[in-house]
Amino acid sequence: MKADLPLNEILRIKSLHDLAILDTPREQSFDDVAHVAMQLCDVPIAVVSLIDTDRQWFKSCIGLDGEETSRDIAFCAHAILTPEDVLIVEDATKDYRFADNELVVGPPYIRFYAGAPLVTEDGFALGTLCVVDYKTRKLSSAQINALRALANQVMQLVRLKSTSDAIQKHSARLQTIADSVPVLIGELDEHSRYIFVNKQYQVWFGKKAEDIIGKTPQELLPDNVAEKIMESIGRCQQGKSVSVEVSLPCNVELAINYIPCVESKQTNVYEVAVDITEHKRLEKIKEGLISTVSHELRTPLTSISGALSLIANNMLGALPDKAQSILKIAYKNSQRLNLLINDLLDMEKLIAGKMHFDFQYKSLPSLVQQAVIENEAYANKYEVTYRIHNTIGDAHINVDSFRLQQVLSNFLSNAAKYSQPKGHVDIELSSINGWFRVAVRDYGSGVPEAFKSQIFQKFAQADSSDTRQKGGTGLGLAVSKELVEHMGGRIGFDSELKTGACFYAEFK
Amino acid sequence: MTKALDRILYVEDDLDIQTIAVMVLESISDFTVEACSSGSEALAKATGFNPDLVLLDVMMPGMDGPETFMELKKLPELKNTPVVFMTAKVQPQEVDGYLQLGAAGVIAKPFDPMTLSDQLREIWRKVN
Repeated sequence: MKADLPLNEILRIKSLHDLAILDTPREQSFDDVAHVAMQLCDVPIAVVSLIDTDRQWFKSCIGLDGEETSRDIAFCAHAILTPEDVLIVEDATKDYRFADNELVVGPPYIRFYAGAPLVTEDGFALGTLCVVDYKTRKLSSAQINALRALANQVMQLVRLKSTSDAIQKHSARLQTIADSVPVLIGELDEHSRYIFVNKQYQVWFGKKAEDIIGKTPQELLPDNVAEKIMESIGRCQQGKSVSVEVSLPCNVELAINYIPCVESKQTNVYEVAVDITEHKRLEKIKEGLISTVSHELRTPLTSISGALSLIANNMLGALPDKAQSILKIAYKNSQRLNLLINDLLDMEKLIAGKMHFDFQYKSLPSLVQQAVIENEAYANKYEVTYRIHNTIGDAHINVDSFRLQQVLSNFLSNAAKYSQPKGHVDIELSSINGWFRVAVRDYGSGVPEAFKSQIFQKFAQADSSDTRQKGGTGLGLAVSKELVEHMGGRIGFDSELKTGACFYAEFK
Repeated sequence: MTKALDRILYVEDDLDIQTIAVMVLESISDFTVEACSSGSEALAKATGFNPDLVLLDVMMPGMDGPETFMELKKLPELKNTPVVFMTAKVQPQEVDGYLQLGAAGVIAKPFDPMTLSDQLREIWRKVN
């Protein structure tokens, strides 16, 4: 009779198909287990049978021809109904389930069957390891236990095969990806010999992969390049990622990253190299362009602001009051344009990582004093007084003094601009949790709540009319933030509307 | 007592800027100014004019500021004459470059015409 379907049939079939073992070639390891089962039970037939939707398929079949049968006549289809038990049929002719089975009434005239289910970790019985005889027989309990143990071994083989297949597929996928990217990807062993290279190496070196594998960079590259690369590999083998740029004789520049291979016990390293020739060429053009543009912008500006300054200062004779006030507006805006050019150039350099910092230990109070002196004339225009409060003595910090002056000037000029006439600005030097802080506090209108999150962004001013009214560029705080952070410091502010604002920079 | 700054050889290829600077230096401060539009013109006039100080642009067609500087310094009469660069190229490393070359000072463009003379006098005072 035909076996019932297991209750978990849909999931069981999915589990079987996920293993991707059906219709795979025969394998010695499975045949070996079947042989052992055959010997152990002293029978002429042993089979590793998997129960598919409509068939039983044999991964191994010793003593019997054929690769599969219909599921309807499969003894194993009955065996998988009780995953925890070995199904023993001592005389099939006397078992109502099999007495009329075509394999019993006809060739090969099966009389005896014992099937140990092949059960997954999730409890799905995928098939059996079974032994079959043409005559009736019994198995001892030791034989039954051994058959069950061998069935477990078959499942270990299934899992191993499945894992191995998955690894091979994954490996093939990675190889395809590695070969299709325009980047050199390789691995070097502890003796700095290539043990893996992607297709790009063949393109670059004009050699087959097998002619590169086993060789060191010294055997493949000019001495001066190889020396630089070997030094980087050496440092990487100490466990650190290393980046290096090299120029090849064919006018090609490469940016190479060496990454420690953490999966390997040896000091293997991964090599990832990108062609940056075009990037470098464009960078040079951009640098030249920025330098030229800044010069070309400043040259006419020099004439404009110079001429306006002379007229506004009555050097060419007195002007009517109305003309004087209009001229001052023109002069003020020409100065603003100059500040904007300076800030834009600084921002571009900071973003490109091209700004040079000359770090030196300097007295923070002296730097603050100097910044105050330089900004006093500006504060006088707004009738504002600077007051310094020092609680840190003569503390020294490691900064670029020119760039710190730029930051402090930004704080001080902003504070003066946003103060009430006759007001004052407090400059507080303090030490907080190991950081030296310079805070510039004004008592102006404060920073609106909605603007707080954008205050350090480029071209940020709370009121769009501020740029015109206050003469700022909208870049000052953004540049200051970049400068402070490039010098290892922190920048921030506290503010409540109507009570003023306090901007600070902190350094260790 | 140090001699007062009087004779300035000014080299600037942009005639608009040149006009403004000359007006300022001559009108406000009564300096004697010899204006040149190129490095080669400056070299031709330098010995005859015998300046106390040279005010020199950097970006100029043909011979640029640093090249003009080097050529001027080869002239025995100008060997010890202070040279001040007035330029729009004033990034810190650029300024360092002018000073390392031997410049007495650097004035950034756009300059403030009202304080240009004072800036030159301050540099003159320092080098003397």
